[in-house]
Amino acid sequence: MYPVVLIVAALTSAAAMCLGATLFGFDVRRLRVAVFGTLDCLWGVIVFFVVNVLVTVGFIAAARTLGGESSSSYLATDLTLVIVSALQGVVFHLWRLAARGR
Amino acid sequence: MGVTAITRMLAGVALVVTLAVPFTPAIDRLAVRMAVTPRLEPADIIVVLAGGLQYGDRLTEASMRRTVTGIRLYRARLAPVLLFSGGTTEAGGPTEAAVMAALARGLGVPDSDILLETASTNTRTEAVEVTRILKPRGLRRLLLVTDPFHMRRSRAVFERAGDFEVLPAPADPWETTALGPESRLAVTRRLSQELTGMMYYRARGWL
Repeated sequence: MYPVVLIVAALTSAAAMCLGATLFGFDVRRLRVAVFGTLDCLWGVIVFFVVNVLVTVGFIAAARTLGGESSSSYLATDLTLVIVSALQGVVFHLWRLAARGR
Repeated sequence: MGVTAITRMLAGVALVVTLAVPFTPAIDRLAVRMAVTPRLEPADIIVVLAGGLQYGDRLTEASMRRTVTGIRLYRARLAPVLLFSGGTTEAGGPTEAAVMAALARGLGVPDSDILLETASTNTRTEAVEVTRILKPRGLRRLLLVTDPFHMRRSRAVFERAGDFEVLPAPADPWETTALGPESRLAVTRRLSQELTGMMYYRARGWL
């Protein structure tokens, strides 16, 4: 049952590729550029995520040292950090492209 | 190989790993290995570790599971006393131990069979504070109730802090090897927290 997610993703990706190539006239060979662009963007997301986790850990350590407050270390693995990092990574990537005039 | 090629390769590896975690059984196997086998035998006391509060004064799902497990062990007469451990999670709020104990009382555990530890803020301080309570009473064989992945670190830190004989009583014995993609992500997150916690505790010399 669980591979259904992968099957759905494969089907919609294939459909989008067909649609892009036929209806919108996208060059299929340029798909490679999109894949590399995605990897560049993903790299930014990873960097932001690592930095965000480290800064959060720093904040927790500082709060514990200075205030003796019981800040939970689980904050550093909060799911919202992934979402925020993804947004930061995408915006930074697009900014970089814009700066290059692409 | 240029910097761009290297970063793309690393991003590609990260992408493959990110997809492999929810869609392959690798994490299921790691989870089973991390979980501690229960040892449900008669003991001097049942120690239930807090798993947090939410909305101010309500037990989280983890705390609820642990509390109910502790009560079940008490009802099975595996120990005559229940100790709930956990301090406040926010200034001015109730202690985790008090909220768990209220549930136990509500489910029929007599007040005389309940002990509270309300000064702790994490697993390490729970071990220290519980030791402070149990040592003068001469109690050293304890049934420890917490989550399955938290058990390994908790057991080690309790054994180290108080020289106790710790019998693991995980709130949710982990035996499954057939998780769905979403559950695998949750388990991965939990395992990451626990492995990081173990590294930190080892570095501090608490294990």
